[in-house]
Parts: sequence; C-alpha cells; structure tokens
Amino acid sequence: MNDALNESQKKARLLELISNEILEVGSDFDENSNLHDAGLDSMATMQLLIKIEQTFGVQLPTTKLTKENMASVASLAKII
Amino acid sequence: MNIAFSLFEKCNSEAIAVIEKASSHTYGELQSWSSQVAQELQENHGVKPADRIGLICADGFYYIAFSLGIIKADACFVPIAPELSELERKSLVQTMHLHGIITGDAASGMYRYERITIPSEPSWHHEFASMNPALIRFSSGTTGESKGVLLCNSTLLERGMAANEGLQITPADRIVWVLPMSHHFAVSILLYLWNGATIVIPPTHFASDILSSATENRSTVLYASPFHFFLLTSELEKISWPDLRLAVSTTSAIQAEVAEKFAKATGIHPSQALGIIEAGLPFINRIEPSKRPLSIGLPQPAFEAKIMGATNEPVEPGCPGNLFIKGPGFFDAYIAPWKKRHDVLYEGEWFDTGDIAVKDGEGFYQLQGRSKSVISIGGMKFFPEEVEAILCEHPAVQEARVSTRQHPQFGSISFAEIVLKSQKKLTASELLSFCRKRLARHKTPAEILFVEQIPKTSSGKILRR
Repeated sequence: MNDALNESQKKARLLELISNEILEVGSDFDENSNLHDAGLDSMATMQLLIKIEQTFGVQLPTTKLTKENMASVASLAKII
Repeated sequence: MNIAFSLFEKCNSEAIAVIEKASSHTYGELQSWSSQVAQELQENHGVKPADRIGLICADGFYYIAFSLGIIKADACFVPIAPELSELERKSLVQTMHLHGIITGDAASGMYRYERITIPSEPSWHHEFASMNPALIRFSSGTTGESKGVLLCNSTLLERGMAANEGLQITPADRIVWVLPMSHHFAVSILLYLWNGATIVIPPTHFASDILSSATENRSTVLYASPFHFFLLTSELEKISWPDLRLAVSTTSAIQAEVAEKFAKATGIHPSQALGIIEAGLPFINRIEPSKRPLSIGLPQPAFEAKIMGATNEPVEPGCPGNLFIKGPGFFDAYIAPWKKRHDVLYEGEWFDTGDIAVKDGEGFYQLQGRSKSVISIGGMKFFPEEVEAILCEHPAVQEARVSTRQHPQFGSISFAEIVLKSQKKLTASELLSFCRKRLARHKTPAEILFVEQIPKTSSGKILRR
C-alpha cells in the first residue's frame, strides 16, 4: 500500500494520524515539528508504530527505529 | 514514622539523587524542594495529615520533589497518570475523595495547587487516617474488583527492604529510568533513594539517548519494560555498557530473541521480575537468567510462594495453577470499596496474584497466563471489562469484547470485537475517537473488529481468550 503513496501523501497521512490519535498537539504542529518534544514517549511510540502498520501496511524494521528517524513526520515518512 | 523524613535523615545530602538532561540534583536539593512543598501545602493551603493529595506532573526531578513533599506534609500521595482521560481523572478525584491536586511543571518546579472541598469525609476516612497512609495507587488492583491500593509509610519501608534483597541497590548504583513514575514508584524510585543511589533519566526512550545516558553516567542498572529493551536493540552495534551489572525486565514477558540480543551486546542477560502493586517485588530472576530466560526465578528471600488448584488444593511441580505469595510490605487496604488487607488475603496471609504459573523441580517459577482478565500493554495494566463498559456506552454498540493478540515486535496489543445494535452503523474510526475521549491512550484498542456475536460461557459471561 505504501508504494502507491508519494512522500507528501505519506506525510499528510502521518500528520493526521499523529495529531488525531497519538499526541495532543497544537495547530502549529507540522511535518518538521519535533515529535520527542511533543511527547512521543515509549507508549506513544508503540501506538504510532501499530498505527503505521495498519495505515501503510508496513512493519518498520527494528534497525530503523532510531531517535533520528522518529524525530519528525518528515523523517518518519522517509523510512515508510 | 514518615518515609520521606527518614529518607533524608539517612541520606548523604551532597550525593547526586537525579540526573536528567544536562543537570544533576543532589539529595540536599531534593530535600530542600520537598520541604518547601510540604511547608507550603501545610501553611498556605491548609493540608492536614492523611489528606489525599493528587499529583499531575511529567517525570523528572520535580515529580519526585512534589511526591516527597506531599508525604513530608504527612498527607497521602495519589499519583494521577498524565495519560488519563478527563473522565477517568474525574472518577479518580471522586472515588479517592481527594482533598487537593498539585499540577506541577517538570521543567521549572513551579506548581499550582487546587483545593477540593469534600462535602463529607467517606466512611472509611477515620480508619484510613489512623493507618499513617503515604501512597494510593489508583488502579483496579491485580484482581480488578477494587479501586485504589493503599500503602502506608511503614509498608513502603518494609516493601523496599524486601525488594532490595534481590536488587541489591547501593549508593554506588546509577539506575537508568524509563518507566512512568505515576505507575512505578514504591519499589523503584523510593527504593533507589532510600538506598542512596542515583536515578538517571534519559531525554527520550530511544536507544541512542538511553545508551549515551548510560555511558556518560556510568550507569549500573536498567529497569525497563520489554518494549524499552526492544527499542534498545535498534542500535545493537552501538551498545557498549561496561558498567551495567543488572538489567531488569518488568511488567510483561520479554521476548526471548530481544533478551538474547541484549545479553550478547552487553554481557548481562535481562532478569525477568514480577512486580505487583499489592505485593511489591516478590520475584526477580537473578540466578542465571540466561539458562531460564522466561522464568521469573525463585521467590525473593523475604517471600514464600505456592501454586494451588481451582479449589485451593496443592499442585504438583510442573503442573499449572494459581500463584499465591506471602511476604512483607503487602498493601494495607483497598480504598473503594474499603477492604483491609487481612480480609482480602487467603487465610489472612496469602495473596492470590491472579497469575497462572508453573513451578519446576528446582523451585523456579514461570508465568503461563492469567486467571484474572488483566491486560498489559507496554508496561501499563488495565482490565478489559473497563474498556468494554466504555465501548458499550456508545449508542450503536450492543456488545463488546476486548482481548489481546501477540505482535512480533511489541508483545501484546489489544483489539475489540464489537456487535452493533440492529440498524445501527458505525465505523472503527468513529468508535476509536469515542474511546479516546473517555480512556487513557494505552487502554484504547489498537484495532476494532465488527462481529456478529461474542462467544459466551454456559453461564452467559463473555468468554475470555
């Protein structure tokens, strides 16, 4: 499913998913906002990864689950 | 006896208590901050002994200062987990009959105190106040029947001492801390401080931050959930942790592959522990965890354990049964409904953990499941009945069953099966949105499945998987 989406579509889906379902973020939250500062703790990370799996049909490999890759919607979209 | 006062009487005020981000805080600072909070609560806000005071604050040095401040004021500390929904928070305030709430800023140490007027004290207040209460964990307990687990000052001390027979925490230890403080406090934060150790809080829970916090501060202990161990394995090649002496995996079973990878990189095999809010830390697998990676080990020295069948008959080694434990530092009472420890324990001394376990021929225990329905997701426990009740509040939902399924990376994840009322329509997204407004995030099902019917037992109860 993820191959059919380009990067900007992935970012849009991720933004929607994170702001509606994972974190409480303000209206200024965008693809470059820092997810760690926004409260992406381990529980939120687990839930985000489950949502990514359901939405994009991919299970991200463990080696990709780094702080840098999980830093923003923009960096996350690159590994999906 | 007041555990916060006693702690500071024996501590070295110049030793480092907490390291977070770029700053470190001594025991002296912690004492000074907590004393100030205690004084302000008593003098400015009229807090009296045995008042129940809630705390909402992000984890960190100030969380600990506020919590010890509440206890120092002779009040009873009630952690309010930040992830609770507004409805859950209201329920906590009402059922625990809170007298006030501190909302703290973890960055500055500033706080706001909200005083709550209680029309009349609950019927149990007099007895509660006479017990020298220190901490209430607002959870459904291990059995799911009662809300609020009470721990008194002397209980906290007994519990910490019993747990430390296995953990062996000393002033030389630096513990990397990644679990939520509102869920883990008694046999962790308080125990570390009581024993003069240093708590190291990494900026995030990702591998690079945990590892740099560990190496920069020469950390000796990791106390984490299986998911944290899983995240650590994302940067296996970077794992260098020469000072690590003990890695404890708690809250649910660690995956054997993750434990193996971690052990290979650090030389320390994670020890599985069984922590129970009513009982403290009765099990930790310290003896050759690599040989029995799935075992919770032998009971800690202060505890006894036994496995009994459905009618409380003894069970032979190797056969599964209900795990009962006996030992010091057990909870003092359930708050709602009020039930004292002695009236809850089997034969007045054995606690039914709700776990199904097997004891092998050498006396090692291994968990096999639950006799009660509790669900553990990423280190946070809850009961499916609570989530099902919320799901059934939706006008389109006839029936609901919440269960878990295994996930290759995360252990368990929860899902809900839903039977809709006839002629009603509802999407999974709409129902999840409904849940999110009413439930803490970890309780919201990860998946919704619409089904024709929910399997039932012969007596009409929901059949648990």
